[in-house]
Amino acid sequence: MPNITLTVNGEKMTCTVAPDEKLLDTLRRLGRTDVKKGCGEGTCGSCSVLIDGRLMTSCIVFSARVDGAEIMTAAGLGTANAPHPIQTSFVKAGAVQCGFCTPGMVLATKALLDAVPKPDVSQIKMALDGNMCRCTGYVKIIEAVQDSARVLAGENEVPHE
Amino acid sequence: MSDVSDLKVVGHSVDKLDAIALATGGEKFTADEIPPRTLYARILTSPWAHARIRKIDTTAAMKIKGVRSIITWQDVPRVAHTTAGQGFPEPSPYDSFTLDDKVRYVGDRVAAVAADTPEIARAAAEAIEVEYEQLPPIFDPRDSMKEGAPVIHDEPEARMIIPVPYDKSRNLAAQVTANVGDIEQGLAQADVVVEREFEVHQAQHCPMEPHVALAYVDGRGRLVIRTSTQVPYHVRRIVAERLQWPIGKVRVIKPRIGGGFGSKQEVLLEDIPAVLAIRTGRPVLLEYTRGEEFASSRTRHPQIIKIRAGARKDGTLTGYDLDILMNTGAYGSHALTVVCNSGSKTLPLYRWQNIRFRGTSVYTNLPVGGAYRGYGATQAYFPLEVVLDELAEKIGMDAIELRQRNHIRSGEGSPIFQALGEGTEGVAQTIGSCGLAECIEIGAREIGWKEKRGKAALQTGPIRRGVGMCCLMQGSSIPHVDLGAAYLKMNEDGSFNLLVGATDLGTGSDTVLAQVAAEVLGVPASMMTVYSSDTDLTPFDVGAYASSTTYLSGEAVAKAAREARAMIIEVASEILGCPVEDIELVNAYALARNGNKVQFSEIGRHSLYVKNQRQIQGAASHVTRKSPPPFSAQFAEVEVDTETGQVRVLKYVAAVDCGTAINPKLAEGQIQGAVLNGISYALTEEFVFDPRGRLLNNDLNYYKIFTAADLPDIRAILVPTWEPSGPFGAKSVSEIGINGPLPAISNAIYDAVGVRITRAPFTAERVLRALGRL
Amino acid sequence: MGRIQFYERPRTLDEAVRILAEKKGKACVLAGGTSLALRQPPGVDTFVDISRLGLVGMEDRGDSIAIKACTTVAELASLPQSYQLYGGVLARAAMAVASTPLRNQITVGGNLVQVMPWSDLPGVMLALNGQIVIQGTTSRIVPLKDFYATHPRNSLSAGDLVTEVRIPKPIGRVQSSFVKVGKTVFDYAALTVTAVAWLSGNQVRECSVALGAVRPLPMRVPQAEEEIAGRIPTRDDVIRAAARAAGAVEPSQDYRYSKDYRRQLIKVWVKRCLHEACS
Repeated sequence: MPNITLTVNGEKMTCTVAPDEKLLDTLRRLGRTDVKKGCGEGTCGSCSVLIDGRLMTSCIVFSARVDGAEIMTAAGLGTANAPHPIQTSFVKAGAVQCGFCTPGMVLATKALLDAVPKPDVSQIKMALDGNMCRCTGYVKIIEAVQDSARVLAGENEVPHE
Repeated sequence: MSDVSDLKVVGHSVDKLDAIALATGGEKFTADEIPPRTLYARILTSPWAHARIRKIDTTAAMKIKGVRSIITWQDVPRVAHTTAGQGFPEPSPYDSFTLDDKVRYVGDRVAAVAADTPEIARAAAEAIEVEYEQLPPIFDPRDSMKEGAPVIHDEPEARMIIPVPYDKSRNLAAQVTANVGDIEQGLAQADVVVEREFEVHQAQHCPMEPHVALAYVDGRGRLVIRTSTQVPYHVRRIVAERLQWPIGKVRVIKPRIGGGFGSKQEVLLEDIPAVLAIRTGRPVLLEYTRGEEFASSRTRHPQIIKIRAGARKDGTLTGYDLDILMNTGAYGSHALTVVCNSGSKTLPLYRWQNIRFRGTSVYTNLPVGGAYRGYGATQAYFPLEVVLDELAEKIGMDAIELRQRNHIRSGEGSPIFQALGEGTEGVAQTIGSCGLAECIEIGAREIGWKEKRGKAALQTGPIRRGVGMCCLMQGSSIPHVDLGAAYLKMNEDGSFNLLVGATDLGTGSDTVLAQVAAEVLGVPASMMTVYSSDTDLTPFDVGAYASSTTYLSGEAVAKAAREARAMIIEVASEILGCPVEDIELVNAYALARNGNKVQFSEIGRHSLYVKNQRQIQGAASHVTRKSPPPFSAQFAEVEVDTETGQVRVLKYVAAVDCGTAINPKLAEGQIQGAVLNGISYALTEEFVFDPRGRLLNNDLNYYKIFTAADLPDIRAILVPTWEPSGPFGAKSVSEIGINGPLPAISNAIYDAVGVRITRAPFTAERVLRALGRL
Repeated sequence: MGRIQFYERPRTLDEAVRILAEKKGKACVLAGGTSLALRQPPGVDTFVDISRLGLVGMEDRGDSIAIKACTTVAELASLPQSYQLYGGVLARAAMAVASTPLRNQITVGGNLVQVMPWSDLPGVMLALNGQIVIQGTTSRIVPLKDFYATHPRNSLSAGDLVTEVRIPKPIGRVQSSFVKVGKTVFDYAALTVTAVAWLSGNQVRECSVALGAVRPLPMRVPQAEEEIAGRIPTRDDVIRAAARAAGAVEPSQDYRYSKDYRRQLIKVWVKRCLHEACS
């Protein structure tokens, strides 16, 4: 059984995982229930997290493979009382309906804006192509991404938790 | 009051109350709080479409370490019921059992396991040995009622509990008819007649959160079920009935729900973890995998629809003959009401002089139909709106003009309203607000109808463009049937708790209801804390379906808030020493005419601690007398690749009259989401079965729903009207949007390339065949 | 618990090869892991994680460039050479793979070796005359044309590890075209077409056309290539080449697409891609 160390939202933790255990299961086992399971096949994007800054669907990432990595979940991006501007933009834009996809969506947005601070609509659409939403029709999600890009452009540094 | 300009909270896009918690991952969905010692359940499903279980042996499975309980049909009470989460008496046949010795579709329940881990539960389910006697299956609904067809429900218990046609010996799950005038005479009087057959296909809701339910027996011996449901009160009633437990000993809690779209208006899972929890004395979680969500959940009922329609050259619509054969699958969940709605939500839209409607629901050995956003209207708007285009073309009239001449208007009724209800007779009503004319005008301008329609002949090259449109109506609640209730209390800081049975499944209804209460009470919505749907704590509500929450539960909330408002004014008059008539409530203050004022926090404190102590509160329930339709005109601009058949929607305009939009941003979100679901359904979503009736594309890799990358330019335009019977003029908004894409896109394809696509979905291959190029 | 009992994380290539060889068929290579997460080959009890062997990025190999096996598809899409070489066809194909989170996980090597019918990179690499570099018990360089003569799973032995794919540097002016056809953007392909034209003035000196997703393995279509090579192709040449491609290929039939429809797609898209690559 591999022992691994993960830094989840800045908190370092060591745990033992099965050799074929998926990161989604590890994270949820550790109480990180802000990471959602929608398909278990890497298709819907509900379980998206940032692994060393890169967006991945944690349901098909083996935990042992990301030993030593920095993981960010939606709760690491911000909290209800100290939300990240991306999360605030999602609320303001009306981009949150059932909210099951939202933790993944805000992280997909974070990954995009870290790489492309001023994305155009087609870049936004492509950046979200692995995060499915059945409620919103994506229109307001795209508006939220545009809005957060504007908000973040007014700041030097993205406030991390 | 008849417009929104004086309103402070209603009509404003306040932030969805739970949005920030959802965006930061803090909200809890059913599977996010697992009690210690929870067991994991797994259902063994049938590999056969139609079979009798001859023998079932759980010995080997029980020997697997970590297996705690296995149940088969021999271990549960045999109670015929419906899984449809509808009010009592349910208008769906009682043809389901918790477990049965017969399986009726691939994916049907065979047995269930509870084990220490999901992996063990899965392994144990696979280790159960079952001997099946295969029976001949029915896959084509056209075969269901043929002489000598296999009988899918041959059990003696299956029955309808309301007096409507049901004949299980002929696989007839439901039938409905309605007639206005004489259809044959109507068609004889027509200058042009169109006859066509349409096929509308099966589809899955694909909520991002699959069905999930957790059950445990609490310290007092009560059964607690936390479940992802749209209908907590129906879950309580139906599970209690299945388990033969007293309703008072069951508590159903609805946490956050990851979308439902009708699939969770179904008591689909809850009895299994409940039985297993009772047997093991431990909490039991049952989570559907995505594959099970496709194969063993609920679907949109497919329909085969035959139309005859006639019009005179002047645009008079002389007759409409609507004949629907609906495939309800292996069980009759919503089998009657969905097909009823195919008539009741479409036929009143135009002034047909003569109507004949016949809807027949039949059993097959395919996955089960259920409630799905649009609920029969989605299916029946496709033929109606395509046929209207065809009539218009034949009489040489613009498609829009034909609709403008004939659509229902404010103050008008329709004989259909009275003839067709949800399984029973309907309720006569005249239309209150109707903004359809404006919707058509605004939508046509937005899409560029005049510039773009009928211009295919001017185009060259393999890619052709066209525009199409359609008109729609839906309803708002089920009159005289649906009940909504609310309770509201004031705290000493002037904040309020609003407790509602209404079920927010992601739509934002908690927020909308908070806005209604806040408007009545003269406070910002942020002062409302909403708790929805817990059968121990909140008052009754039928749940989230039939486009009812805003219109029905909203009025219950308004009434409860008015009660509380009266008490606030009473207390304020004591404090301010002025008559109640002199007091107004504005922005969390009670203002007296003489200029004195008192803050809500002081009123709250006074009422609880100071003098004449009492709880400022309100409790009310509401039943509607009518079901005012929202209206919509929708327009699609498409591009058709005539060499590959690929259809791409470029732009989609949905102008919607939902009365007052209590929260415009949330209302737009409902429209945009419904429209994109409809577009994806029209173009790509489709169930594919093998010859044995096994679903082949039971995942999101092969069953394609749109992502942001596929998104066309969608414009949702709210066209405000004031519905006199609704809370602050509101009607419903959430379902109507999904009905438009099938006809609007089909009509646009015709405009682009001159072929009528009458079988959905409009896949590239199907379009290319229709073009005669394959 | 699954059948996987051991997780090996070798530090060097030699160690990886040794473990794979020792474990015979019981060990399998884990790179991105997207396929293994859903399905593990029968009989396998060990994962050999090769993600930390430094097999990432592009390197210049003189007359060719090497894309190392563990380079993710997203990294491939963002490397400047992917845009600069061959008219950017590598970047276009890479961006067509799956979705953003999957592109961050799927590796170039995995996509080439797993070669599902719907893998998007094998076709483009085949069109560019790529070669696959295998290290292991017998280290060798195999042209992709040969590599895909049979399924790689049959030609790779237990101790073999694919370490990179080499693409010859373009000589002279080269134009290209790539298309992926699916129901939605994030979908398994119904068809991918890669067309590459090596030009001398207006003349197409050499031409390659590769198809993916229409058969179990990617394939070149010499029948189409020979209609174009050595000519200044006219519209008719292109149409004839496309028709020959459609006639030469026996597409797979499944519930997603009929054989006839796939054939029609080949005819249309080979025409369009050749048109783009040759003009």
